[in-house]
Amino acid sequence: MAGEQIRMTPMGGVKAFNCRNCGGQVTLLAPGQTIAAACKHCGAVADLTDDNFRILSKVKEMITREPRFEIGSKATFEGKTWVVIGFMARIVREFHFEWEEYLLFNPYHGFRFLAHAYGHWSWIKMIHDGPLGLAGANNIHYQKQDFKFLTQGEAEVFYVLGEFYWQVKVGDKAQTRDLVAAPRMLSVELEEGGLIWSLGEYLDPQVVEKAFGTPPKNKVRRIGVGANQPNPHKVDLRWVLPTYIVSMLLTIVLFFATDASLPNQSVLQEKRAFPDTTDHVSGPFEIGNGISNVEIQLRADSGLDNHWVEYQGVLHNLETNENYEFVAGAEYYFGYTDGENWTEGSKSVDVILNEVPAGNYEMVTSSLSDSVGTATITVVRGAPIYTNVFGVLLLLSLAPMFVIIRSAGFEKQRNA
Amino acid sequence: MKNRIPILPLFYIAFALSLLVGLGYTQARGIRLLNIFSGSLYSHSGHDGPDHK
Repeated sequence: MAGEQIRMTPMGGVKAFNCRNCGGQVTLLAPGQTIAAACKHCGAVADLTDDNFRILSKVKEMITREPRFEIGSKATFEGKTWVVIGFMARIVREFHFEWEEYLLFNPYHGFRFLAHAYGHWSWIKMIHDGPLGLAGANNIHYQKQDFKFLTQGEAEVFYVLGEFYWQVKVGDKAQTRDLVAAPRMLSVELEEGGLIWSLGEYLDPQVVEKAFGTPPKNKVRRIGVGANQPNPHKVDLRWVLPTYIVSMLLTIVLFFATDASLPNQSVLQEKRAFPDTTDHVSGPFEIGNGISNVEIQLRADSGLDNHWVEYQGVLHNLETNENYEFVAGAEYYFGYTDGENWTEGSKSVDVILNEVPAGNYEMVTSSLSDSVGTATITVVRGAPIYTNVFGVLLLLSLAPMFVIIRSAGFEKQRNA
Repeated sequence: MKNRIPILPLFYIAFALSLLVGLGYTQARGIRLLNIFSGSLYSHSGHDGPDHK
């Protein structure tokens, strides 16, 4: 080609050449280390191993896919300086999932990849001790970590820029599988040359910015959850679960310890006919043991089948003249509908009066009902209360449930 | 990974302890919390005697 310029490095590698497709000059950043280079002018990829720089691929139309870090940019990772020498964009068309891969080069340490997808970055290194024979496995134990299968698909290269150590070209396809043990990701690609294993590590966007000393072009905020993004809620889970279990056990122990000390003693039992709207006064009875609760237990002995009854009553303290009012209503219905027997309500009901002081009392009751029957009313001193402990157990469960749901939601997004 | 100060677990421990203290108190006094939060079941104290008195 007229005006063709080929400059050689002392090592024999080509330093620059003119593109066979458009004539534009292509300068190499890792001469002698790479075997394919894409022309930044026309996107054609040249074979550097060929004396005439034959074209490996041309783009049908120039796709404007600007790298977020320019070819030639320098960055510091692992305490070493790396140069961006290649950039390619890939897609799994099945999921419409696109990502970018930047090839970085250090003359003493070789090549690394920096992958970017939807604001998430990963630092990737090829590994040569990949778990042989496990390319199709869903769980792989590697370097003392358990990697779990995340996704697989056919990755296609749709844009190339810069130079590469393999003969990359637009349209290249490879079967990929990703397994995750966040923040690390084990990936395997099945290509014509065989299996290629790589190990990636999630990078916070700030780390990438700091490494390059500049923010990426067209910077995007993180969208969704990255494939190997660490789950920040797992840390909380490790703390909350043991605390939760201990708290639950303490609550149950406390409940039974205090429950055993309650008198749970019947101090009055009377049978009453209903309905009876006149006030009926019981004989005097004593409530002892300081301040505790009193439970009014109403049991309908007869007359409540498909009916209701309501007792209104007062515990009257004969010494202080204080009154403790209560309403105890029971209803019980049953029938046969649509081929099924059903019941609703109950023939008994309990009402608890809080903090009733010790003393001598009498009980005054009257009743309303749409039926005629009898009921037994029992007054129990210091009855056990179960709803409090269930409430505490429920409240104690809310925080772990919240953390578990939040953590599971994060993982669900990872798999989305 | 950065070491995170476990704020949430600390809150949880404080919350759990306050619940345990509350449970111990209500158990000792025989207080049914649902009575306080529910309008349908109630106790009432006062110095007015019943009508028949």
